[in-house]
Amino acid sequence: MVLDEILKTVEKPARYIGGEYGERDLVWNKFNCCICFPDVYEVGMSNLGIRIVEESLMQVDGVTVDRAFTPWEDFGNALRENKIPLYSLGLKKPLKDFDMLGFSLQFELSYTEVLRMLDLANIPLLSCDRDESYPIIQGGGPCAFNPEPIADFFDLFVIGDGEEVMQEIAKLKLKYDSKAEFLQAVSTLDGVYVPSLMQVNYGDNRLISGVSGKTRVKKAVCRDLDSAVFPNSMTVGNIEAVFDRAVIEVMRGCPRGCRFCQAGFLYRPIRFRSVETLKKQAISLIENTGFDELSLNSLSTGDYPCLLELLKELKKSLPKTQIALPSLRVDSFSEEFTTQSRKSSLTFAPEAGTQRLRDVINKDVTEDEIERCILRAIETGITSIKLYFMMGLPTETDEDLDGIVNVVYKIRELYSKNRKMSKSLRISVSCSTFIPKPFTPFQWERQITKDEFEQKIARLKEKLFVKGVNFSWNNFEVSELEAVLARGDRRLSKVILSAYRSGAHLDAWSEFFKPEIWDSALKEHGLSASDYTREHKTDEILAWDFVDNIVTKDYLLKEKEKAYSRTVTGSCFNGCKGCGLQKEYRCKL
Amino acid sequence: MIIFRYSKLGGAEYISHLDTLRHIGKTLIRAKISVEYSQGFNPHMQIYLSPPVFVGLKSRSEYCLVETDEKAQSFIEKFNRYSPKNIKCITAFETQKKHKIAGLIDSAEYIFFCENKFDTNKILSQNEIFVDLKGVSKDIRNKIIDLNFVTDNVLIARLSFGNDLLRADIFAKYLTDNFTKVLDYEKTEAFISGKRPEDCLE
Repeated sequence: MVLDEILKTVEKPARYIGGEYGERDLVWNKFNCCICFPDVYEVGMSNLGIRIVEESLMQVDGVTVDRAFTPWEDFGNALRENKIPLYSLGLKKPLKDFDMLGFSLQFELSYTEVLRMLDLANIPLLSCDRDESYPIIQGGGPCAFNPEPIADFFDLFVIGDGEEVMQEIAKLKLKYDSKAEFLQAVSTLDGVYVPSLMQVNYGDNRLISGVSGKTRVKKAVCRDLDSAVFPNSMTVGNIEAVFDRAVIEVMRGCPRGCRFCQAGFLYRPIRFRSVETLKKQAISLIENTGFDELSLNSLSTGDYPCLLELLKELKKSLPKTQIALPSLRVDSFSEEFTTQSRKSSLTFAPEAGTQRLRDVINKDVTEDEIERCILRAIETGITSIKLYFMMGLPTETDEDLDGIVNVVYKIRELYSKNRKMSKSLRISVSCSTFIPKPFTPFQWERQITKDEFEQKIARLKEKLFVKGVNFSWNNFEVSELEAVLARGDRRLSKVILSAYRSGAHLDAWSEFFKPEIWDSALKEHGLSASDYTREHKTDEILAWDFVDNIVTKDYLLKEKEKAYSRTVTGSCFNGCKGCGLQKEYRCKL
Repeated sequence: MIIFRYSKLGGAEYISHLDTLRHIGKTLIRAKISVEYSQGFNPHMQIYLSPPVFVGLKSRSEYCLVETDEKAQSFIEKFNRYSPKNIKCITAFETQKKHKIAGLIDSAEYIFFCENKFDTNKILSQNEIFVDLKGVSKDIRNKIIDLNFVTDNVLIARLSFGNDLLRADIFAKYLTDNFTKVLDYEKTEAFISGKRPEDCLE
């Protein structure tokens, strides 16, 4: 009744009621895991990773999997005021009653939400304060590759592909009652990191001097994607999800190796699903959900070798379903893909404005290819173009920024000469600040300072203040914090805790993000953002060095050197580049 | 064409009007009920809902018109097999005319579960009743059509709906502030000039 009263007063109460179409009938089991998504319902409901993990865990006998999302501020406050602990959506059980909470870590700025969810569930935030009566707190997803900033809050992390290792973890949890025994047992699995089993030492220079204990964790790799677990149905959100559509994963990994792109290195080796498998999964998802749109997901769907065959098959089997192709590269944008789409807008990401800088970042796209792509788009009747660029990339000069402007002007020129529609062209240019991420060839690079950021933005703003062009950019403080948390070490756990205690929450939402809280939290612990955004020496021990991403550090160093000599490495399709994975996996290209 | 009546209970009352439309659309696709689509640039299903109810109002009397050749009985069965568990079709009938149900429904009946019974004439005998609506004082008397206690705790109220709406939560607050605490309420019927749509639309 109290909950009903609360639901009547909060925004979008359907986020908190469960009972979605397609929800499984859950029963309390021997091992109960709740997958926690530290962002709001409509964001989490679009996430494919948590659905794969949920499906994979449900296949283990004796296991039940439920879901929970972070509540919006109004509902969170109401739960607190009424002393209602945060509950799961399916069984409506307090999170504290579960055996394990599995957090999906998609974005560094969601870390304070992990703490808020634990806090709302009345679970101590630090792992050392939790005894056997509390659930095991596990984290996974891309941010788990450098879990050190949040090491103090978690009992274990899954690093790499989750679908197989999560099943092993569940089986071990069914076997061991004692938390210590369980953690010891799982720590032997590939892809499992137990922070309490590794100690980090710092030298007088405030840098990491060494690690002891269990000091090497190799990422988990699902070898055969085609036969890997994939949900043949999905719950249809009570409210519209940000991507309200069915999703299949055509391949994992990306052959391109853009030097700034973390996902491109984390998700190696490249693995494909067969057209036959994908067709089966697509039909089953559409029939079971009623979605009228199907998205073919991967890091670079245009590189899926059988894309045209797959599109043909899907069109035959699902004639009424709109097919979405996210992450299409400029050079893979062909008419076959677009003629069946009714979309009037095109989004693509040249990332850098000049050929020189695109070579530096290994974005293997030429001026000609961009031009051809734009021309084709204009011919198919597109009237709105969205461009993504980065600024602050290594070696960037004013000329490269002017290159962004030139790309925009060139597109306007092409449109005026070749337009098919009477409507005038709208170009939206979105510029984000480069964030040096772990496990990329740019992991040692520095991030630009606020002064540099302001100068660069001013330069672009002046030249992009043109009719029909909308220029937008990311908040610098958000990018800076993302860099700090992405490259952070264990000392940041205290900073994150302080920031949370001082009111930081829902940081990924601009209306809640308060940079001053983070500034003082860093200061409080004798740190500053520049400790993490500075250039790192190549012989320094990096906080994430203990994680074996299989791609070797030597390869990353070579790629860094090639960046500075403006040498393009190119796609894995043009021959193996020897990143390290070839020693254990054969990328089937 | 089919007009069907459905309920939103057990949590589904928190699903907004637009999301309800979305769920009905998806249910029809899953149930493989063939529905006409608009002919525009972005074709959409030809389905029309009765006037929106506010988020949080439990209801057993929502209506929807669907452009389909499906027969009523099989429509009910198929819809309920594939609909979310708390959005259920109660009845359906075939119609030849594309009735604009959103504009036709003008009153609704509600059950109010009250702590105590009171003399409803104290309300009905008044000529005007002013309540505060977001800082503006408004007369709601003409929107209260009928009130009748069927047991000591259950009040059946007919209130104006559609263009001249009196929201049930506002009426519940008025009752709580002036007569008796309202514990819960739900919408049970919708009317077109005093008749239920299933009894008057052909």
